[in-house]
Amino acid sequence: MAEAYRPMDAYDSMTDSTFILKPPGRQGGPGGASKGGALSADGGFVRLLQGREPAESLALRRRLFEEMWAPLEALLVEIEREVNSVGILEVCDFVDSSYAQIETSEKGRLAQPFAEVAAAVAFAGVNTDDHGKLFQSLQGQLQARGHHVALLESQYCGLQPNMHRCVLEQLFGSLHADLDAGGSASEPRSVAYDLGLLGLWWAAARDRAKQSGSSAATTTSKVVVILQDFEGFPPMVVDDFIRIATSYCDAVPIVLVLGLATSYECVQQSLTKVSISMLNVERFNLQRSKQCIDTAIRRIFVEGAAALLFGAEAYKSLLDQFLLYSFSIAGFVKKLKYAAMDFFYAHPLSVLAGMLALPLGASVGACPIRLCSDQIELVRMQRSVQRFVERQAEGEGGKAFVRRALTDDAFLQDVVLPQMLRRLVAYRQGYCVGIDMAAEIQALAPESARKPVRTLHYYGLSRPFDDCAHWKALLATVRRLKPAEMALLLQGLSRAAERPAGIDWALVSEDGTDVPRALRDAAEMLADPDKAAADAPTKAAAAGAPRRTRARTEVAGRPLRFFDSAISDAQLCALDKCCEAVEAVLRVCLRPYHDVPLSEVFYYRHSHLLDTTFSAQPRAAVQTALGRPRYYIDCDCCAPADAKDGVASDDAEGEDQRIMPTMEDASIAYRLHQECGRMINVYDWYTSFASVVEGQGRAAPSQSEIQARFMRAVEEMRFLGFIKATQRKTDHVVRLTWGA
Amino acid sequence: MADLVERLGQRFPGRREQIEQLVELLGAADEPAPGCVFVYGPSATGKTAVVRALFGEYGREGRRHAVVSGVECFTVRLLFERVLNAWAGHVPTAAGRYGNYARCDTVVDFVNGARALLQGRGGEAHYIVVDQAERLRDRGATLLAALARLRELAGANVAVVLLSTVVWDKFRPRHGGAPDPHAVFFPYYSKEQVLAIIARDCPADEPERFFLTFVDAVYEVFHRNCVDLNELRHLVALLYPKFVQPVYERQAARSEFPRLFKLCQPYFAAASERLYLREISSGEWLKHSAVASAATAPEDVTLAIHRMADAGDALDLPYYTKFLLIAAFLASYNPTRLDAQYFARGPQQGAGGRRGRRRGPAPKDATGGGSRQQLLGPRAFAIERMLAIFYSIIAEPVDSSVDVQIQIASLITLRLLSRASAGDRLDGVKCKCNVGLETIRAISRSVRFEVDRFLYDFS
Repeated sequence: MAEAYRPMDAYDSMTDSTFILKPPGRQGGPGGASKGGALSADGGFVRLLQGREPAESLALRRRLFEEMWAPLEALLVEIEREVNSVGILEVCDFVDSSYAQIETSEKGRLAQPFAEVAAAVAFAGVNTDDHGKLFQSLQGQLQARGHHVALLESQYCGLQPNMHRCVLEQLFGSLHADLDAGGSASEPRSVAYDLGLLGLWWAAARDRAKQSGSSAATTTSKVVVILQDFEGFPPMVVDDFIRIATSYCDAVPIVLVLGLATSYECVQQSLTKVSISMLNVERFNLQRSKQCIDTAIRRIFVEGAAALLFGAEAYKSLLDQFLLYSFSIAGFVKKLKYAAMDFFYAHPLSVLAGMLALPLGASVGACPIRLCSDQIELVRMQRSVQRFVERQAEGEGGKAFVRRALTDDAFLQDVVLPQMLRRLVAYRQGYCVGIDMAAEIQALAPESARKPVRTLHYYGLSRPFDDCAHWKALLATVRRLKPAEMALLLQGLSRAAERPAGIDWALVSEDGTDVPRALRDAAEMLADPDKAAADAPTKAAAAGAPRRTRARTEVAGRPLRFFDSAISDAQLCALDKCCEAVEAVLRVCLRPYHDVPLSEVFYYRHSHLLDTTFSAQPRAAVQTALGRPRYYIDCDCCAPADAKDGVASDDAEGEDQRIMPTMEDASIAYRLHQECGRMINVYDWYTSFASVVEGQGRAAPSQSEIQARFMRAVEEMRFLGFIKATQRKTDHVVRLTWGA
Repeated sequence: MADLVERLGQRFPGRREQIEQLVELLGAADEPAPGCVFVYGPSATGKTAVVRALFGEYGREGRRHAVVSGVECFTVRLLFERVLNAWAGHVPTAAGRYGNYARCDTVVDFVNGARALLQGRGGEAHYIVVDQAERLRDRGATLLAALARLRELAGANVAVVLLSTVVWDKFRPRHGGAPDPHAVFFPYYSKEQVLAIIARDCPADEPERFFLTFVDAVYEVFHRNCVDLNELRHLVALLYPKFVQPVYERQAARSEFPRLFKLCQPYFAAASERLYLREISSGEWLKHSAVASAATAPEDVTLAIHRMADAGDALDLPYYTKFLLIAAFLASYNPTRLDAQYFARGPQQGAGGRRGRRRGPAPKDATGGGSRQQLLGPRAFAIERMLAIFYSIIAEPVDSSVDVQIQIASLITLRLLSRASAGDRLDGVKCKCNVGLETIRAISRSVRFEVDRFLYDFS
């Protein structure tokens, strides 16, 4: 304990409220490699299973995490870049073509009566934390095209001089040589920054370019000023900036890019009529965060770019954060990374991810690791594994298989585990096909019934096939199709099913339905309905007739076929068969993941952890910490008397409300101040504090001790920011938070 | 001098009187200049253009003058250094590391610099022209007084010409100290003058009388609301090609004015307001308006114009943020006392739900009184009240996590809410909803929330 003690003098500052306390003892590890960092040499990985995990397993987890996250992160960046590239390209083209004459054949055109500054209004969506990256890539693209770009953020542009300073410093930085060439001294000159300087600089640069002969570069290049977050800029500053820029736009081709998070209304509200009429605005849409997320979900979760998948609850938490609160891609990535870290840092079976990638017939030796007995035991404990093993018992030699699987560790690892993993991989491939097919069918449904991939995936995860209304709606769409449309659909579905190579359809589902084959059969039957009817005359005669009558009575489900008399009975029958085939195929592919062996391991489940980590509830946390400190301190002195005996009483809630003298002083003061209004009379507070503290029958503290404790408690409350002193009333303090 | 007035008078129709006045006031180069000349009048009446042209002529005669803008010179240093640069004929260059003639941070520096510079010039007049001079009022209390008496202070033959849209009464330094300047007023142009000016915009290959007929019509339509010459020119420049289009498409002859106006009607009806408010910018108009032609149906034209104005302009917010904004709107426009009726979900409400509407004191008349909140603008509300409404109107239970608080903060940064209490106050923050009813209706539709049922006294 002696080394855990730290002198408090580093932490008793009255101005800083937060201190970083590193865990003691960790830094003295073997080698002491991690200097000052909170992470140990293992990058924060610790041995799991009460420290019994072998070292190689730990190393493997670490390697797997790095191998998974790095490409995933790259993929996410790539997706974001790809999705945004269209909008960025449009803006770049606009900048390129600004100040050029618009070519039209229109007659009677007049010259514009006054000069206007070209301005692109870029709607970037409300996810302001992603804007930095977006506009930086815009800046990069524009610079690559030879323009001079200044990227402004509102926080640095509160006043006109600051804004000019930002613009000119960035522009001159981009042509730093110009200034250095002029004079020998490199220290910043004490000039005032204004656009006049820009005009001079521009003219000089142009002259130089003319002399050196590279006229093409400067005649097309522009000066672009990007206001990244227009809403944050003081309107007067932007207004004046536009007016100044207009007066120079004859000399310098200035293009403004206004990044808007909300709508054009904001521009109209904040700028004056004078400056709005000086802008020649074109509008661009850059807000594509939903599209970005859809692509990411499709690539990561549906196609399975990563070993880690999200279970229904965790996925919902991930998606909710995005859709309900922020539209933030950065937030999405953060949560994803946290989940991946949680999985590889804390789950002893995450080493199995290393076996997923093994090819089908890999030898035993190719397996990257031998599991230790604890891990094997953990595998056996998974419900889905138990179900898998039990199902094997039904076949021949099943009993022996089960016995070996449950007793022989080597057998489980070398035989059973690869089997289960192959099933898991096959299931995931099949699931991807299922989502593709659902999207294919959706394309035929009316606009309002279509759902984006993120929602389809959520349905696929969260609901059994029969419970999901959307799948039913899709099937209803299928039932309404005409034969020709059905043939097209079947083609599309077959294409979707055959797209991923090497799916072992026998492993996808329990009964081993071959999806592409079922689809092909259905297509053949539809192509030649009479032959199909003749092939199975008895069955068609037995089933066809009643089905026909049903078709005529159940109008709601099949209106088209009912009224379309051009369709023959045989065709009707074939259509029905096709519908059934589609349903069966979807049912196979969109099976819920719970049945798949090892799904507990690979489908991330800790949604609660994600919620509590990323959606903190400060008010609840503070109220619990100070209102019910025993949950934090873990003492039993303040517990209600009967709860201590283990008897849950009815009025435990009421007991909880009581202020116990054994509580911490700050806690007592906090509970008492909750009962007060906005202004707190310190004397009253003190009296009630004293009455609580004295309440503990034996050995009541002395008056001066109570007073000292009370003063300390009040000071702590002030330090934590609950109250502050006031001049308005003597002997009163003001309550600052969650006022009554 | 008469020659100068004649030349300028021809360039600026209807401004001859003002030009004469100015030329007389400023006098010849070797005469004592007036201390301060104040040129004022409404916007777009030719103040800047006339004065700049006049000094352009003077410059050719060799008179030294500096033209600066009050908006552009956002510090006094910029103003002074530019003036001295212009008087000294100094142009900052890259070789001189863009240094100015002299450094002036204060009025005193400037006066000293001007004395030193003008000493050897032998009483020759120097001029300062300050455009948008009303901004000089924000640049320190003594600046205007100093400029107005610059001749005394610098002891040299210096004149200051101030241009502004504001009358001198709003300039006059509070404690005196500045003599009233010589004022020159630029009134609005009359109709004949407007036509004469716009006639110069007439394209070379169009007959001028035909063009003027169109301009006359535009003037008659808009002059009651907008006398700004620049705005009229803007509208004429954008609408005239549409007016003349049927002639080239052989749908009407140049003499058939009623028919031409009829064909041009949809543009006037649908576009003029949007063009005036710059909801459609000139660039967008030039690019896309060629698509809509008078040869097609007028409905198509209207539709095309609407599409142009609404391109890519939709406010998309996360789901809960939409509800937060709706709650903010309700808190801003509904009276506090009716909250319980609208939002309480108690047993006494019965199966009918919230039917408390109109149970409060009924509005005085159908159109509402003068004190309806929607006429008064949004009212400040406490964040706690907004949150209570938010939790009440949202269907599913929501944890009060930090996410909700973050959303409130970002709504404030996006200026959809504006903070009505002091920035350093952490508790009891008050806000106003900065969003109009139409936007809120659109947002409510997108989340299938019937906002009208909760609005008090809206019709």
